[in-house]
Amino acid sequence: MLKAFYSSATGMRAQELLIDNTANNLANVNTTGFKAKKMNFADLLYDTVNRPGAAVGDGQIQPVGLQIGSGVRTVSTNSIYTQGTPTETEIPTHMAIEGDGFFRVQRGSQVAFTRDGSFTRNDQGQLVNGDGFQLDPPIQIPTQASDITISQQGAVSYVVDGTAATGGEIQLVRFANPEGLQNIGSNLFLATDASGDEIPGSAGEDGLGTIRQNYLEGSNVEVVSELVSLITAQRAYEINSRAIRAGDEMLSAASELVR
Amino acid sequence: MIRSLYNGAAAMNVLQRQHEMIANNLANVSTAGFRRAELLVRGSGGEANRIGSGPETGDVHFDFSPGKLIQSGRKLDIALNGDGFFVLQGEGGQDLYTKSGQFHRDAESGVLLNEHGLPVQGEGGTITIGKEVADDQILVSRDGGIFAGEQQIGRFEIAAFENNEQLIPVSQSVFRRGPGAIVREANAEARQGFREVSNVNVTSELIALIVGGRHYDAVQKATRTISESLEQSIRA
Repeated sequence: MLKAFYSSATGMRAQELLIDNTANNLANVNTTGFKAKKMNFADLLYDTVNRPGAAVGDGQIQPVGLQIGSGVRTVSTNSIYTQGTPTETEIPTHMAIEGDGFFRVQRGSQVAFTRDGSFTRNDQGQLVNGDGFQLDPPIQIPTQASDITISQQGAVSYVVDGTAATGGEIQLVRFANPEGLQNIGSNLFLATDASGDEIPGSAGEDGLGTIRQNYLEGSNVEVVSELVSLITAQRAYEINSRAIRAGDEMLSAASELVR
Repeated sequence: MIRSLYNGAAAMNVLQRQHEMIANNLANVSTAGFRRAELLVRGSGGEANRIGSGPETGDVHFDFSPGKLIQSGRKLDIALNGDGFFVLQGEGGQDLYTKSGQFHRDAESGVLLNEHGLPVQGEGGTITIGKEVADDQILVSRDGGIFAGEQQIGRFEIAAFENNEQLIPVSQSVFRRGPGAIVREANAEARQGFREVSNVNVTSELIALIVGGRHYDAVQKATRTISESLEQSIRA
């Protein structure tokens, strides 16, 4: 009986985490390049009363057994890498990736990855993201340059003093298992053993997406489905607490046996 | 008379076990591929002219009816619509069966794994999707074929049984084959970008919870009445 209380408590805890995750998705509904996250649950270990497969005599074995679970646990959160809606910003150094891939930025001595293409030029003309981290390999656009164009394949060109010039190529990277990337906030990810090493390439080749200049990729959070999951989580929470109350009533009835 | 006190206790025990099962079903209302279970009760020794010794816990009955499919949009979330299981390679090479199809690729080898890291079986061994294939290029056809762009790179092995009740639970979402399980042709359709959630029906679990609670109360009252009459007869 006490076991039922703990099973229901794990159920309530799971629904709390689900609500935490939904709240975070909803809070990031306007975050550039944000990928919605989904939680995965699995059932907990079993208390075996009768072991399945145990002999019951006469060469027969117990086909099913009696095992009672102990509730639920969270296994992982998956990022859903579907495309976010591109929104036009009219800023020539803003880029959205259409398809698979990440930008590579230099974060101090580390390399980080992002889908957020809100790059601007710093005082030396280098392309940097909102936190000032440089795009890697670096792209330098002279400060006096105008008419900056970035092709779908990532080739940068601009006009300086009336003459056209090219300014290198923006490289993208992708991962065998992008869900294994570690989220470090500020729209940045770090590579891990689970994600595998980065696979660099040019935009539009080897499965990498293309670059769309003047656009930013919006968040891919779908408000309606998040709200629905909020409601189901809330109801599931109530139901688990109802199971605790029912168990409590049964226990108190049991204690009434003796007066 | 003392015997009926034990009968009452046996009934209350069984009802507690049933309550534990219901609580576990409800706790797993969000677990992918979870199959609900219920505890059947059997009477014991109720032959003619004999009083039985109360109910006993009987078999656990697993309900293999399908759960709802929910769209996730993830390329490697595959749900099986219909009667069929994915085949996982468990420890020691044993085949395990599950409805939960949330896969990812091993970063080094590209082997397709489930969320607990067990390789999923294709027709003729594990399924490998190389690094050169981007997530966006992976397509899974309705018949379980796996494609990288245009090129087919494998097919999910989908198992089905005549008698699902002969499966032995490893957990309530993963099963292994019992000796009596008869294999048959699977009749399932693979749906990419979907997850099958638990098949727990909240309403019926809540009703079972209420019925169980009332039943427990009734047994408790009967047992107490017997105990009180016993007390009277001792005093008389």
